[in-house]
Amino acid sequence: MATTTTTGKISYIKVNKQADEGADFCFFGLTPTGTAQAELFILWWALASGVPAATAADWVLRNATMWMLRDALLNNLAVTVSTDDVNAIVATVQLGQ
Amino acid sequence: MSVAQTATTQRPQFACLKDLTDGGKAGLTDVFTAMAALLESAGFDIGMEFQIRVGETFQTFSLRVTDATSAAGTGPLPDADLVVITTEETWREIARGGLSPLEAFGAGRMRLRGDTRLAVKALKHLAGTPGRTEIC
Repeated sequence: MATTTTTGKISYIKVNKQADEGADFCFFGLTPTGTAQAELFILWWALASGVPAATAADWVLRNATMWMLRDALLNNLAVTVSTDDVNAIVATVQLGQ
Repeated sequence: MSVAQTATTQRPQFACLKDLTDGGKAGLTDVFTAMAALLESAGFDIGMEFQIRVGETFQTFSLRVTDATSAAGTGPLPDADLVVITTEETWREIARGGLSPLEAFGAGRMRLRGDTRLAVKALKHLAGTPGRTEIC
């Protein structure tokens, strides 16, 4: 399993909080530099990360990461995310170089 | 109520695909040919590329449906509407109808690039079991 990094611009951020319907998530689209198609990434999804339940520390980190994505979206900044090569759940989010 | 308590989630039921593997006998290329043939009656055009990790390397397959006529084979599709990246093991589970593509995506076993609305339409057409075909 290899780590993949993707750099590009944020095209959207979608947050949903319907835990009872399995739709407690934050997804975002990232259009890699030099391409026209956005890739769908998962910041969290209760389906993927709900066991064990998220802790307060998890939520602080999620919130901080979401603000980085928001800043990138609003200011048209490049973002670099890393994932495993077949995994849409981001391991790291980086703003700037 | 603590944050941890509010995170309790009921696992939704997501739709699986019809069996595209001819009972597990079909090879990867045959699976994509079967998928393309089923999409001929979907009523929309679509081009899909599949990057399947087999062992340590990726093999690329693609399919295209145009005006209810399909073609599938190996190799990339430069103007694909949708690119799916996963492992052979995961793809075989999905193709035999044993694992929902949405569940595979949520479980960190698949990446998706391109037109997700078209992906939902394709999943609705290819679904072989009841269950949700979109996340929300």
